[in-house]
Amino acid sequence: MNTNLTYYLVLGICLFAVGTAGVLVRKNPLVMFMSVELMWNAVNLIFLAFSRYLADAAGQVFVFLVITVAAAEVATGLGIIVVVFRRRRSLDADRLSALKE
Amino acid sequence: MILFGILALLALVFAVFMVATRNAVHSALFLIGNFVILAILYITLGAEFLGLAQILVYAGAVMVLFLFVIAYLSAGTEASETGPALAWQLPLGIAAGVLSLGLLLWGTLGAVLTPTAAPPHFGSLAFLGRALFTTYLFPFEITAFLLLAALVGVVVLVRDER
Amino acid sequence: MHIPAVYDVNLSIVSPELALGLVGVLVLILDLFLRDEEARWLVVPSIAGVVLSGVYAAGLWGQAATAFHGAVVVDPFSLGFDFLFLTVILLTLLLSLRLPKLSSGHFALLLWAGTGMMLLAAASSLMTLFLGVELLSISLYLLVALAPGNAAAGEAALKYFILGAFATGFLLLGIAFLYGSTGAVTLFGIQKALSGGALNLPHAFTFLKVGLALFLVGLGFKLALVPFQVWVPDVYQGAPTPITAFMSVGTKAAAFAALLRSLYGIIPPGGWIPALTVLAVATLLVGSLLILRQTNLKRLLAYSGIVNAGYLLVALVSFGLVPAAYYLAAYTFMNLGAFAGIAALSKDAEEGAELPAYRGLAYRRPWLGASLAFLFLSLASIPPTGGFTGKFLILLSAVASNHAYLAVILVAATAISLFAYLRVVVALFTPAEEAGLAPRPLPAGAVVVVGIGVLGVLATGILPHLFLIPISSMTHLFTISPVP
Repeated sequence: MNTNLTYYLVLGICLFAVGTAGVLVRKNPLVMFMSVELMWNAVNLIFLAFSRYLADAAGQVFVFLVITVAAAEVATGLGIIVVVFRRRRSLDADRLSALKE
Repeated sequence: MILFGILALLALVFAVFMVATRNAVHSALFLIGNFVILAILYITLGAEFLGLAQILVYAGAVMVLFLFVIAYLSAGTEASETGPALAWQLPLGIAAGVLSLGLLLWGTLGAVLTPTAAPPHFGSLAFLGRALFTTYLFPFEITAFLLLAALVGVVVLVRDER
Repeated sequence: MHIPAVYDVNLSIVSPELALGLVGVLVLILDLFLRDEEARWLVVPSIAGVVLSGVYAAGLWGQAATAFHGAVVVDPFSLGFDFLFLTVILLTLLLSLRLPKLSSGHFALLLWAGTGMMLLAAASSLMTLFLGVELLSISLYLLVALAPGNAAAGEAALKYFILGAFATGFLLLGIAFLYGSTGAVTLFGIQKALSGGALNLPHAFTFLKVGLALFLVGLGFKLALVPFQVWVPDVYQGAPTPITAFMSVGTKAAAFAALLRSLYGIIPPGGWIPALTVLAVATLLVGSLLILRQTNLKRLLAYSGIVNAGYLLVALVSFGLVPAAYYLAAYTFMNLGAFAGIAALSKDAEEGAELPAYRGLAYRRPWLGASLAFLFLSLASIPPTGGFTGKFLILLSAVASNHAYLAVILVAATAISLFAYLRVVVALFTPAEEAGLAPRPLPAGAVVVVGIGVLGVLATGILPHLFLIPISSMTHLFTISPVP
């Protein structure tokens, strides 16, 4: 396909902007986190567009690394979210039992 | 060109719905849709292996993990909209966002980037593998530490909580 | 064993990083042989790892080399920062003993975070830079959260995580545009492309500017510059105090090192000085005004960290490498010492208390009270402390490089924030009836760190040549020479 690669850049930037908006507008940590994932993927698209334009391997390798790191980030982030919800819940339970006494 | 237009439109629609919908499960599903479209776009850019990896790792593993956590916490509903408070930043953020979006688009729209002739097997597994294990060997090795840190850390974090 | 040249392997130049990272793995394995309550003894192999890494770094001193196709360098600049990071890790390890529950994961993650910081100082490729940032950040997100049952720490970790990943998105987008405009990811490659006229295409120049701006935004979050500082106070307050101390010094120094090398190494100064000057002025003024309202000691130190990032930026803009490095050394001692004081006094390690609780401390605990007062005087830059000497050197470099207005703003920010620090000192010496803080006995590790902090501040205050001589040898030797 012989498209002008600028369109890919524009699409990437728009997706990045949607992700940014998601982080700023939403309050649910899971959705905020998903928006961050969208931003990272938008960057991947831009990397690949540049990589194709330059016919250079570095961009593709970078995307490979970003996907790997993103997997690690997801494990970390979801672990933290689970722990935070558990702590909130036990905090609420403490409050309830304190009220009963 | 028409293919690109359709895919781009779909990707944007999925992204906007992901942010806009009030149900976290729907958000996750829209995001999976977006990732699949992106995978196709990767392939049109000559990154075949990464396109497949995108579907396997992102649309597959990562999003399943997301859905699992949403189900586990039953966080799909509006009641869980209790993330870090950023409310006062909202107008500021939107203004800055619109401004930077405009600047970015203004910066990129003028450019005409036609792809140069790619070497044979550009984006194939062998191509990427050779680059990863020669020129980019060191960054590749660091990811080993990174994955180990995330793995160990999360296991310890969740274990100690009980 | 013969390794083909195509791999460009040279493990000796990454030996400090490698030693620290592998000892982290070893600590995990050793944990298998220990019972849960014995886990805190893992601090011993961890400290051994820090020392080992330091020995390797010392062995490399004076070298300047690159390997792995330009992914990583060793030069006096990276080694100097290595010593700073190792000091920070060592002090944090001692301070960690104060935490109520310790597991092997805690020590391993600290060592890996340290590995990430050292990689940042040695990164000569934007790939290594990205991975260093992420290794450091992921370890830190988890370290902040690792406080069983502590809801505040969890919220802090969540906030830190989301905003951290958000900022990394900007960093990545910046890197993508830098790559698109120059076709390279190593600093050597970028420098070559910029001097070779790769920017003749008009769009390439635009991409370079866009990339640089986004790159600055990304690192600005990590450095806690205004207006990217909003996450700092909450995260610093909620995190366990030893980890807050580690973040406040370590992350800042590491991000600063990465920023310094990339900016000096690749981009002509005309491109970034105006932007950084604006950031410096905003950071100094906003930070010093906000610090006045703080009554919680941990929040106060968080804002102090923001103001201090402003000082570092002034040094960066005026090419004051030696002052910047000197100030970082002094800042390490005074900040870690102050946080150690807070950790030593608080009942649960995570509570950074409100100011009134510290009233009269100097009478109940004369040594600790006096030490804390001294450390806060250093933060307030009263001579003869390291805080004063460091700021004075930055001031001189700002004047020397014709940034007189920056010097004026620097002095103004110092004068404003002076009140915040002095209020703490006054509180320490105000007699109070009720005994607020002061658990007995004081935790040994934290007290040792306070002592080292005081000695370090004194040394940087009255014996500057002790530090200036090794520091000046370090900054004159970049592997990538700055663009004139």
